[in-house]
Amino acid sequence: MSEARLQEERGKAAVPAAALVAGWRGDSARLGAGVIEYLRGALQCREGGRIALEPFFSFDGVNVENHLIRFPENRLYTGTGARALLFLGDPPHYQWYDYLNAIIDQARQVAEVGVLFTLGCMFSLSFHKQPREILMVFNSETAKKRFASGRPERSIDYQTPPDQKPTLNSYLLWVARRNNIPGVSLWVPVPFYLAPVGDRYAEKMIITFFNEKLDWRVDVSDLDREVRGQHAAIDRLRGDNKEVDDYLTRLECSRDLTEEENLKLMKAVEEGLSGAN
Amino acid sequence: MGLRFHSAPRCDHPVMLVGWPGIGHVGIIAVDGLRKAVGAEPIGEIEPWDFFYPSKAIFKGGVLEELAFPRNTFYYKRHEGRDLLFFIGDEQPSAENKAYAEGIKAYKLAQLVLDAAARFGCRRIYTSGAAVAAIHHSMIPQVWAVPTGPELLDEVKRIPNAVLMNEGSISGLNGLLLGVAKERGFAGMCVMGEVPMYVAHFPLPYPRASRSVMQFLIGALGITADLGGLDQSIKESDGQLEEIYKKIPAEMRAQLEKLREGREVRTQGEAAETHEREFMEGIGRLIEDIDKSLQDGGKRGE
Repeated sequence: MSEARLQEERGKAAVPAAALVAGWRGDSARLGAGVIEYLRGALQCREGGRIALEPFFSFDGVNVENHLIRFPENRLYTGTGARALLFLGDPPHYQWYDYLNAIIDQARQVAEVGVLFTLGCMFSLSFHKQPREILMVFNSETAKKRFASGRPERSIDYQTPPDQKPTLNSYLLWVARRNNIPGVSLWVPVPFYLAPVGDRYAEKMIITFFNEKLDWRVDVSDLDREVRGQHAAIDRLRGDNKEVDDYLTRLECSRDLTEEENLKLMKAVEEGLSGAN
Repeated sequence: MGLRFHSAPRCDHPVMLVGWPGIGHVGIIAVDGLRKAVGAEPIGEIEPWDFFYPSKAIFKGGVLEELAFPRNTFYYKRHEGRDLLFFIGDEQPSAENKAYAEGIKAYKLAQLVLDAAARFGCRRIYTSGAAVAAIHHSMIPQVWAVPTGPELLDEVKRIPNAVLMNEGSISGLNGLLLGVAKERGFAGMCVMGEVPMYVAHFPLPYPRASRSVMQFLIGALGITADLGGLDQSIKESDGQLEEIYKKIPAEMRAQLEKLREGREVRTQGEAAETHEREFMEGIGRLIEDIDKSLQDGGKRGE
């Protein structure tokens, strides 16, 4: 039986294995949501399923965020030809193992999953115009061989500190491995003061990575414009606010700020850019 | 969701001793201490991912080497003619931000522990934990015991330093497991070592209570075991508590000294109940003051 025929027998479209990209609503700097929403538009995705909320979330009221009701949700989106599967959802409150397996199962109902990518960011003391780099960890040597940058200095040795728990991304990598799916966690260091407003530059870096590794050919010109717009807004803020200018100048020269200064800068950027994004 | 065993010892009427973390880690220190004292070896485990969030991720060279979960391990040893099974859990499954096990996960875990017990022909379970009591930390903690049925009352009565708990509640899996055990026809007993009320608030182990629990279990099982392994940790714990005790303001410490007489109050019968209640309420208020004082750096101390 031919491969195409076999896939037809399974009731799936005859397509190559898809890449599943998973992001979390409400993550730091909204990186996952930013990347997935952009890809969703660029790849003309449609909804491909969702996971029932009932066993995974506590229903003890709702949160309010930015003046709006916020309720747990999740969606799986499928791109043209189902080569891209995008998952965006809230981190579950309970039964994490079942929830993470449900993401994989949901994706597999649409297409064969050839690789999993998770998205996350970490805050850095870097200046926002400095190039972002993508740090990667893998769930297998196979995934590492296929997607690593090749720079040995980025071969990360890491262990969860005693007073912390592993991230949900690490947990999802492990679940993918149990399902024989190569997995990669992408982590982008984001300047801390962009946490409240998002980092379009970091989002662009991740999408460029997908273009290079998966040949997705996503047009990032809109993101380029937004990056330039964000930088211009920060420049204007520097012109209007000497204190902000001083803080950013010091960060540009790799000099630290005090904790109080960090907070002041973050607040000023949030207030100055909230209307600009 | 399930049990995994890598060896299947043939047992003759084994008993199972169960320990989880809790106040002062009394139960887990006692059961794990006894396990070590008799040299019990691992025979199996409960798959953890249905019950627990992982505790640690280890990456080597950028590749996920291990995702570690809290362990739930069964051990076995034939010791002095008695078949002993142990179950030791690193954590109690719980809902978000709750200190003790509750809900359907805890119930399912309890069922699995009993499934394992039944598999080896075990019909008697001992759980262990802490009983928060109005005692002073210089005292030898008593053991409070609660059996599942009246046929076990005499067992408690014949063991020195043990008392029967008249009423109250047992939080977490120590209680739940015995409730489920009773429902399934197992005999069982919860054995709790006393922890001073003011010590229960500190995130410190209290091995003195664990030793009392171990002595009870040894007596109940009719075995011998060397408990010397606890001596060093008791010494360290006593030292830590003395340091903390010194930081408590003098007038509060004077109140706590009255706890040395607390046991007399508790055992004087019905006439003393009002006195005891008032005493306990006073101690409760005192503990709140001590907490505030210690958070304040013990500035009111000597």
